[in-house]
Amino acid sequence: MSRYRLFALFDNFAEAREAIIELKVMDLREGGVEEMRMKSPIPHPELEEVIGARPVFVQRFTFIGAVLGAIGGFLLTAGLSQATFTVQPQGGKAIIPFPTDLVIIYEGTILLGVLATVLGFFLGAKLLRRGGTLYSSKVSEDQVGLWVEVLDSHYDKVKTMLWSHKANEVMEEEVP
Amino acid sequence: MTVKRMIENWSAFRKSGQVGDEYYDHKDYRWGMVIDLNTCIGCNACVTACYAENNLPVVGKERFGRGLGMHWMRIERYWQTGEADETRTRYPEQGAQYTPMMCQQCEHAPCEPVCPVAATYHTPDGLNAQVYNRCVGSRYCSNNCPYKVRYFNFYSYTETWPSPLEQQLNPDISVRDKGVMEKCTFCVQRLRRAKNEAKNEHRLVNDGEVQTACQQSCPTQAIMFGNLSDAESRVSKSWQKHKMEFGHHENKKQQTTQRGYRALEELNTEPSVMYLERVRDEDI
Amino acid sequence: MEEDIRKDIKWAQINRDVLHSMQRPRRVYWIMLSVCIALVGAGAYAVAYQYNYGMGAALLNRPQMWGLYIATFVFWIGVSHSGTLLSAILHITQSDWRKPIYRSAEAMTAFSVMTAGLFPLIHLGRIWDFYWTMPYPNERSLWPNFRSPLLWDLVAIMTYLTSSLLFLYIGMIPDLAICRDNTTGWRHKLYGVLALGWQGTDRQWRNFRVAYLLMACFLIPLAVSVHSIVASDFAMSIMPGWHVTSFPPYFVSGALYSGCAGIITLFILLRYTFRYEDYLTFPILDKVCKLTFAIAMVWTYLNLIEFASVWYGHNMFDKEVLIEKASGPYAPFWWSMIVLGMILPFALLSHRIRRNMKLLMTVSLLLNVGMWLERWMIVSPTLAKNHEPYTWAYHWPGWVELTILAASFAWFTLLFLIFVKIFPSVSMYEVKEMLYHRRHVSDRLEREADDDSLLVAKEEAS
Repeated sequence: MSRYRLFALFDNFAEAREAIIELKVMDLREGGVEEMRMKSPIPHPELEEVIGARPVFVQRFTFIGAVLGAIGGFLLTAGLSQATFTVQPQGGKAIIPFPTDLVIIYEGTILLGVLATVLGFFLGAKLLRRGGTLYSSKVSEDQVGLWVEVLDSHYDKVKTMLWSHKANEVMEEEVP
Repeated sequence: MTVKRMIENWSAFRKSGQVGDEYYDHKDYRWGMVIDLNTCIGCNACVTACYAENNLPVVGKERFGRGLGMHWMRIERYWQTGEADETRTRYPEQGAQYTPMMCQQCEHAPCEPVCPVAATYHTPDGLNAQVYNRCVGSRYCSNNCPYKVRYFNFYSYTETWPSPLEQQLNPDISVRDKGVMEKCTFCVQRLRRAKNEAKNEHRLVNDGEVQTACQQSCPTQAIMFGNLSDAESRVSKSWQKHKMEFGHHENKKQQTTQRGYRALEELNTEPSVMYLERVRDEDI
Repeated sequence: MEEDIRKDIKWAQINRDVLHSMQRPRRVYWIMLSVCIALVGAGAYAVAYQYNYGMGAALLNRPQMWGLYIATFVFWIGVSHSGTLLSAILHITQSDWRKPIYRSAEAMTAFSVMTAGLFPLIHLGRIWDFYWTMPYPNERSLWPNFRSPLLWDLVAIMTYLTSSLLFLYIGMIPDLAICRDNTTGWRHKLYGVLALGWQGTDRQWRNFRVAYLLMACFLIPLAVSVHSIVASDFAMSIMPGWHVTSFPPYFVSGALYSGCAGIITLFILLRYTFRYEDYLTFPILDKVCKLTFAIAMVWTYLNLIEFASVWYGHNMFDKEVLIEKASGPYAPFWWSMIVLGMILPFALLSHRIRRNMKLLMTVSLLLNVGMWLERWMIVSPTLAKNHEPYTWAYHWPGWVELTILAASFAWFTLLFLIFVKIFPSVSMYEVKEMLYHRRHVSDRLEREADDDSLLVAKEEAS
């Protein structure tokens, strides 16, 4: 069964939200909506009140990165200073002095923590991928877009519904 | 190799690094010095000898005035101004006092841990070594040296020896180029030669076998140099006599004959050079 | 009370205004750019001269092994703390007035770190061997010495540069998408690549918010650690006047102070150059000024307490350094620092001065002059009076050091000039967000009523 993607632009979040609620209601009642995305110029965390909580996994990346950074920082200082100073301590200081370890562990934690966060963000947000052709520069300006993938059977219904919610424009494409 | 060293030496390395630790119980050698200020006449012969021995560049009057002199050893003059008080009644004006000052080869050298590339480190025979080739010239060591005996090559002097003076350069040590820190080594090239010769003959370096350039040239024999690990050496005996030992600062002087002190020892630098205080008329 | 921002600005207008600022620059811009390039060129010449003749070109001498280079290095690291403060700290405390100004503050952070990072290199005696300070694998297994505070510096600054550039970039992705949607030609291609396919989907925003918050949480302790590690360069030594326990917090507060003063300068410049009167408003400027004043007082306190503890501690060497600062040849500069750093910030309390842009600009610049003097006064007078009286000496900068100092300001300005023409200097999406939230605080109740229909549907479905 072929599927279609529809993309409607609304003047503001409140209107888009109405449409989302109705889509959601329709989907719960009779199915037919494969996937739904909102494209907005600003973040709308309140959307989750409508579509339900969605998990974010960035924190896990951060945590793993930070732990690896801490371990790496210690190995770097301890390992490398031992590798260099095979012979003797310097200036009455130990080969693996605690203050140094602390500083480098601290910085290592942060560095790898940040890098892992960025990685987690890229993966989690599915950046660096083609986002499809259904997009309008209006979304980055002031309008809220609703991207929805529907089954053939519901195509007309959803389209009418989108227009009925005062959509400024509805774009569409067939899923290849 | 790195990992192997790490595993092998873990226990030996995780030391507090204080004097008195296993590491600092030096094996055969721990070079030390005694300078008797009583006999020092401030003649600068030691300074000249150091220039000749260690390929020190002569920087010229103008640069010397700017504080760019490269004298590893210097005679510091301090003037006793004549203010009469209870201790100095008869002869308030005492003139100049001399302190020959060079690298004190500290056991807890403040210059060592601050070097970003580990160009300066502590050798097993108790010297504070400077690896010229490794130095990148951050000059942190000189800032952290309380004696200010580290000398930086602010300019390149390698080409400035007028011919035929370059013929008199000591072939045993390098000529340093610009951007490198240098300092007194206790004439490490002489120590190295003496140690090698002794090793070939399966013995230790005898006391008095090796002299530093400054010691050799001192007309009043104010400088005494030797092995502190050897309890029978002159230096060791002098240290014992003046109740001077590593790990203790501000040694209590029980008798007036105990004149030993180490420069700025309250900073916990553990210098290897003991000075013997000059005896003044009011002390008697 | 005056609002931080007018509520009736159209979102499309925000895009237009900010994108307009990135269009073909006026003649003044080209003149400034040429001056900066000329100065950077002069600085490069000075560095080359110094490279050729050795560090003696900087007129340093034996006790004065560090001079203006290290002082200026500390200064630029200090300026870099503005972005973190405004961005990260105000972000997690949800102070939304930061939104119009944080982008430029973050750019300032990145560029001043990039400026600061040059100085330890310029100051190296053998600059051609600078890479020896990095831990890179080599056949002789020679590694840098991690016990040296300079190495901590290196690690901290590298971390800070990486993190703050990433923070700047990640926070800019939605704006880069706006740029992508509104440009053509090479700019469109550039922004297209940089925006990484951002479409503003709910999934992207969700991950974005979490990632941005996490990065902000990392940046705050990082910024504190960076400047306290720079302070360790001094505090970990045994030099009287440097070996001071209160140095790390003192440096951090000084850093935030000069960063804030730098933000005031930038604020006024941007407001006038790009006609950002609608976004960079007076109420926000007032808040920045008050923040600067508060930090200035923290710095003043730590400064005074340092003097007091030296005086009261009665350590002969430390005291000598303090006396040297207050009465030696450096005294005019030291007292200027006291006046500019401790007394001048009180001017920020005056409403009339805060509204007089020329005067406020002067004040903010003078505050930073004071902070630069502070760093110089930490380096030079301390080295002048060390433990060894025989070596006491002074250092006065020559043309090489002064040229490089001037070039560093030109380099920073140059980076900034390029930045404002290529990247949006005001965060468009965050200003929109700020407007949206200020406008819709009361709408929430209405929305909750609507949700009932969804609940009914869910019940029916189950």
